[in-house]
Amino acid sequence: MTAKLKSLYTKSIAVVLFFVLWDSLARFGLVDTFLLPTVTSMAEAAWEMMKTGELFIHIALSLKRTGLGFLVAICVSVPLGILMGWFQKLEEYLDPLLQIFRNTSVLALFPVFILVFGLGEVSKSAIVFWGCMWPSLLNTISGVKGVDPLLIKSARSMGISVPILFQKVILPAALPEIMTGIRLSAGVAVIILVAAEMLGATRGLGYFIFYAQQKYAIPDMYAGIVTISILGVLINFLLVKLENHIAAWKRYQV
Amino acid sequence: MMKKFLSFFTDIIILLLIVAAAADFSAEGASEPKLQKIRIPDMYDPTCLYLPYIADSLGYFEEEGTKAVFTGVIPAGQHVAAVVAGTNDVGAMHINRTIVGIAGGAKLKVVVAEAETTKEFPHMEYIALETSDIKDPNDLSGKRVGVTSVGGCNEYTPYEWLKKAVAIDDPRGKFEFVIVPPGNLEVALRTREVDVIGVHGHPYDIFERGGVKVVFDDYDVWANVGGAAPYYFREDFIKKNPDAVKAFVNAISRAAEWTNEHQQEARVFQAKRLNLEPKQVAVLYYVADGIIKPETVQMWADLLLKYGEIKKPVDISRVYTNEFNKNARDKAQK
Repeated sequence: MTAKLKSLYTKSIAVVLFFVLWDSLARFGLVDTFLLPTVTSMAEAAWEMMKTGELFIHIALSLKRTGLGFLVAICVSVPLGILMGWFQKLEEYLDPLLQIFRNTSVLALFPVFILVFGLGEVSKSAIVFWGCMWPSLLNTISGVKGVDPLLIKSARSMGISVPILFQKVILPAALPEIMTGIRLSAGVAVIILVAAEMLGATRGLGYFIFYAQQKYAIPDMYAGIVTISILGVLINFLLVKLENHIAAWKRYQV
Repeated sequence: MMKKFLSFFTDIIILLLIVAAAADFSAEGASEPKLQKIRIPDMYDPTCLYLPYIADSLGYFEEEGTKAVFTGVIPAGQHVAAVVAGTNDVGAMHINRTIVGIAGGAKLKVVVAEAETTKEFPHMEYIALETSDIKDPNDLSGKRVGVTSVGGCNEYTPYEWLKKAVAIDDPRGKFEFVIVPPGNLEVALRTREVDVIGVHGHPYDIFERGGVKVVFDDYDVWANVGGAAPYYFREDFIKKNPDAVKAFVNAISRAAEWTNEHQQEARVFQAKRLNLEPKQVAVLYYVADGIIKPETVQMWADLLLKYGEIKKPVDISRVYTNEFNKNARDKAQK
């Protein structure tokens, strides 16, 4: 019990101190509360939005958009990454193009997204997709490339077929790195949400933050920002759990 | 070798920095008497004429006894925050944002008028493709209107246009707003993602590319009252530096008067400063005496309340004052 308490203390003390610092800065007039409201007034704003259900509508829509973009991105980037990691020639050809894509700002591409996908739901998920692709793709490539050649050679010398080789050797060995990529992508997805929902949205957390900022409804704005942070932390937490689960399976196999 | 070179290089840079700092320091010490500095944001839209540039080019700030320091571009939505945070002393932009900021607790005061809507120079225009069938307010229902943000003039100008012609209580929901990131309105219109776009001022470049028409503007809705975009200061700055504020108000009203009479020269001033062609700079009509008219403030305070953007009524005497304006004092004495 005490061990649990101690771990809880270790994990929460920095966060608690951060909020206490924030609150006292605003409360004792060190910064103008117009710019940085007290934590309590932000919580009040969040509570009001929870009571009316407004907050949950924004959260649901945002989760739908990011979830769709993220899942499609993973479904494309992981298989593509495995292919590119395995067929080195393919990687040599495609890598320069991918590097250009990866380093092109999503915000700067808004006109292209409008042109291709319009202003509807598709374009928002497409932006999330674009941002999510790269971390998981690059991590998958390096994960597959980094599999110990000794493992592959010894498996091959036993006359293993290619599909089994992937299933038994390459995937398990590359998995930790692939999962890291997926987690990075999930983080990017939540961050890009704000940008995506500037595009033709009238609901969603990103839109809400943008709108609150325009209205100078500053406590509402911070409530939205903190909600996004909490969502990001939760998603990461779930992915870590999933990773541990899969990693456990891997341990038994090896 | 490389390492040596690098360290030599950094030494040089540090030396230069020290020299520059010393030079800056001595220059500051030398200028007597010291004028109170006013930090002014640069214009976020270089194609729209900006009176502080004109006042600066004509030397009005020094003549009136202050010194303008331009601090770089700040997005329209962040002007109030920048002034409250103290990174700037003056903010501008349309009056509705200022009122919302003050209602939200920003300690600001509007002190001098800038541009105002005239038939020739409206604050906002709503533009459709030439082939569009939108002609009168009735045609707007069920359409998609692209704006860069909702709230304020973007949202309420079409509402009131619709209300003026069609007797309805609440124009909300009769047509759909679509938020389009700044700079992407034209794409959205030309790809028919939206039927109408709301823009500030007259977009000469869009019209040069052709195929578009103005459906209505804010002059059609409110005549002269709608488009005021006066300047404001932080209240504690006003308290500490009333003379600098007076000087700023005088400089701006003189620049306004001069610009109305010398539009072409004003264009050239700004074009030279921002490296543009003079024809790219759009000139509006400016309030020559700088006096803020109560009705231009009251109308927005009422609209913001009506559409729920502010929760409680705002006493407009809290929003603006003409007491730093010499012209207003002269008028009152007459």
